[in-house]
Amino acid sequence: MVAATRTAELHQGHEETSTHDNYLTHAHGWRSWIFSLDHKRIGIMYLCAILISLLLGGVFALVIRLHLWTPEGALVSNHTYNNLFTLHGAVMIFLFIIPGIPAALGNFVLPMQLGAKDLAFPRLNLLSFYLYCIGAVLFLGVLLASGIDTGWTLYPPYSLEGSRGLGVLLALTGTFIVGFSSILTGLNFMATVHSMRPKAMGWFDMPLFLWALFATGIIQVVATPVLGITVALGFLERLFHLGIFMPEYGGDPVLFQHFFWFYSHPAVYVMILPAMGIVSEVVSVFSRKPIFGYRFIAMSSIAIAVVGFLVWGHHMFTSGQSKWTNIIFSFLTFFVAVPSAIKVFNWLATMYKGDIRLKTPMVYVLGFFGLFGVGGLTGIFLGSLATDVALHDTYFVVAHFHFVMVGSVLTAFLAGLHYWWPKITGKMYDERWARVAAILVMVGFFITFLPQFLSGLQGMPRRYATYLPEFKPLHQLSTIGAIVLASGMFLDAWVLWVSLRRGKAAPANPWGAASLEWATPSPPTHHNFDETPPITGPYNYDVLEEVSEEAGWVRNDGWNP
Amino acid sequence: MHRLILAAAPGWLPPRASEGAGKVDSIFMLILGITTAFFVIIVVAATYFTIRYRARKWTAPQPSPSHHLKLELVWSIIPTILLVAIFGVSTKAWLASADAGTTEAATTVYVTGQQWKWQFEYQGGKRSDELHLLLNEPVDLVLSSPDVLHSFYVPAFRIKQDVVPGRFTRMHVTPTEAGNFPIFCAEYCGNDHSIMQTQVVIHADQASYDAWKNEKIDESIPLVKVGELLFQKNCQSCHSLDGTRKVGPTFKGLWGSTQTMEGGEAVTVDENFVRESIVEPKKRIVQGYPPAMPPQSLGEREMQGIIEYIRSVK
Repeated sequence: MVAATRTAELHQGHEETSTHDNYLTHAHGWRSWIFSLDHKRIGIMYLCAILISLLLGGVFALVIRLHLWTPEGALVSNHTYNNLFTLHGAVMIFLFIIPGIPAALGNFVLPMQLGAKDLAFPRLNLLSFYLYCIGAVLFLGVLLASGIDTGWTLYPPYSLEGSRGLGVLLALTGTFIVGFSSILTGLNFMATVHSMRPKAMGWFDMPLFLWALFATGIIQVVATPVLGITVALGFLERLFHLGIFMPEYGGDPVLFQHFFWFYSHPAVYVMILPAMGIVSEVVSVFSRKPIFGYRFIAMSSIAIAVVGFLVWGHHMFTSGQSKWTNIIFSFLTFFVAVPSAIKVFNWLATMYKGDIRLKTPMVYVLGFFGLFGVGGLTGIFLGSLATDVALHDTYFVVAHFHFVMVGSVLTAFLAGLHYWWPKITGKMYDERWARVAAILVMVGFFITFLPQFLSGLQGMPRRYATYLPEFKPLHQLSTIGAIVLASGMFLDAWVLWVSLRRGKAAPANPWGAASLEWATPSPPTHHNFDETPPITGPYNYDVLEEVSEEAGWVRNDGWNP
Repeated sequence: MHRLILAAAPGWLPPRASEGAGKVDSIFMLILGITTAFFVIIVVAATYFTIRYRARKWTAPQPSPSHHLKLELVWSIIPTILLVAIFGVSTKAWLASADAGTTEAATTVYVTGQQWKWQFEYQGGKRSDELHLLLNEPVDLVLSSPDVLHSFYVPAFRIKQDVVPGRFTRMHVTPTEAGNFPIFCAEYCGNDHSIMQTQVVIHADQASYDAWKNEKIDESIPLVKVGELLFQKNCQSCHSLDGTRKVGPTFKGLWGSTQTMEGGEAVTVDENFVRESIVEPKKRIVQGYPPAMPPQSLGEREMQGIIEYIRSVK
């Protein structure tokens, strides 16, 4: 590694490289975008698509929360309410959270963290974006046209009855096309990590975000096909009445639940693993300390990916499955908690004796510790049989998975978005207002979802368009929280929008990070690197010095992009 | 533990009205204690480090190890031990209630969940829209659905059981507190899912229970009679009531017995086996008998009637 640094010193003379030519200005016109094979442009197109999905899902959420202001339902009919929570869940899960971090941020960052020019299969990457769009349009079209009201879990026999059944199957086809895009992205990421790592970068010299994306890739490739199998079986059942899921033809609805959760539970780890990868990067950079216990964190990502396949049955403790099935799934579920606990302690230890800077990404990550703490720890109540039988399908579960999937994944996504924003856009955003937005988002989140633990404990069931009056105060608190949360999100959108128009130019390395995506100008050139930068380790901050706020950090070995 | 069961639930938990509820609550409190401790550790550490090691102009990171095997093992192993302990305690409590359901209680109530109401049918012909139980009297609930999935949820009992079309699921409960408590449907079942609510009425004494039971006897025929009529029409040519061997096994003493199937599997005759034998009779054949029975399609109440009738043939 020292040798690599030395050779790099020979390349001091290229500071003048292309302050004007970058990947954004490299080519012009809409064709240069939609036919682009550049992972950065594809990443940006993904980012736009998933942000639109986030906005859509968020608007549905707000209508739901406003409707629940009064026990008898303030806004819409029961039927519309049922459509709304189906749309909210389905859009958020399939179109925002699952592809969010890997496809948008991962696409942009992964090749650069490897010091590579692009992903291993750039055409496949563009194809996966097209598939995402086709699947999303089909999915949303069917959902809106047929008014599906089954909830995102689509449990038969309700979901497959009559004309609703065909709509559901078409929508599921849409999700599987989106899923196929996820398979291809996972495949592409794994191939890239395997084949395009520079010689000087061993597996344990990779940034932890790459370990997280790699583990995510495993899940995407192995779990997503089951979604396709489920759709195929659903069609066979619906068209030929084979007796698979529908009791009236001799099928078993609980079998569908097994298929569904065999995919959908690992999908939760597709959401949370990349989020954890971002946290690992941000906590190290903004503590200016090498990540504590690198190997434990890297291996816990793989452990989560593997054990995550063995716990799907914990969604079905009250489904009538056998006693032993319940016990085994409960036991395995407890083991998936261990690697998560390890990560949290390692992150905290990273902060110990650090030099902590509370920039926006770090503010989000500190919030993540609280949100993921609540989300993860409340999972223990639900993995344990005696308590789950009481809490299953109540607002306690709603609160729990929102803390994990939204609280944790959304804050990590926002941390990542702000962390890489200067690299992606070449602009700095307003730190002060971005931090205000971050705090609004997280405070709003706690106000929205903490009361739901209480109402769930008291027996408030999920997916109720109307409810008993005694739950009213807690529901109203939730609604107020949702408004705060939404205002934080809109403020943040405003801050980022303003930065695009009036933001200061970002230096190559504004945060003092040591991974390779910062060893290229902001925004990066079309080919990312003119030559592979010297590899000094992703968390080696000794080689970096801060020049000034405007000029950011530079390497003290003389090699700079 | 016993004291905890007797004590009233704190205000932020629903009232406790069953034997199992106190146990669930004590496990809830145990997990709450452990998880709160961990949460406090996380928040305090994050807050303290943020304040203590906040970057100032003159500060720089201080040297500290980048890994520490012993420490990392400690914080891997301690949570593991605690988690296994929670698993053990919780599973034991859950098993106690799950196993309690396998020995038959004196009373059985048939619960039918359908879009969007609950129906309860008692032995002896009484039917109602609210569940009526007698204090301290163990009861088996046998749940089924003629349409889609539902879930029978009584917060005061801290239990919940999905109602699955095409099969029977069961619950066992001993009410310990007189009064009225809400019943919810907890599995989404369509348009009016949120109004699929009713209540359980727990009578303090036999007199009050009997008064309700005799209030107005339902005009409709009781389940066991439904079963008897069906038996006379469809079953008696092949199944006897007195133990004599006909084409198929006798019904005498059949309920709850263990039968050996062709292929050696031992099966206890319960609701789901009876349903299977009627809907798909050739799937499992009792050893030594011919696979002669044609499949029958019965309504949910007829199915309950046959079960109740077979149960009555001692």
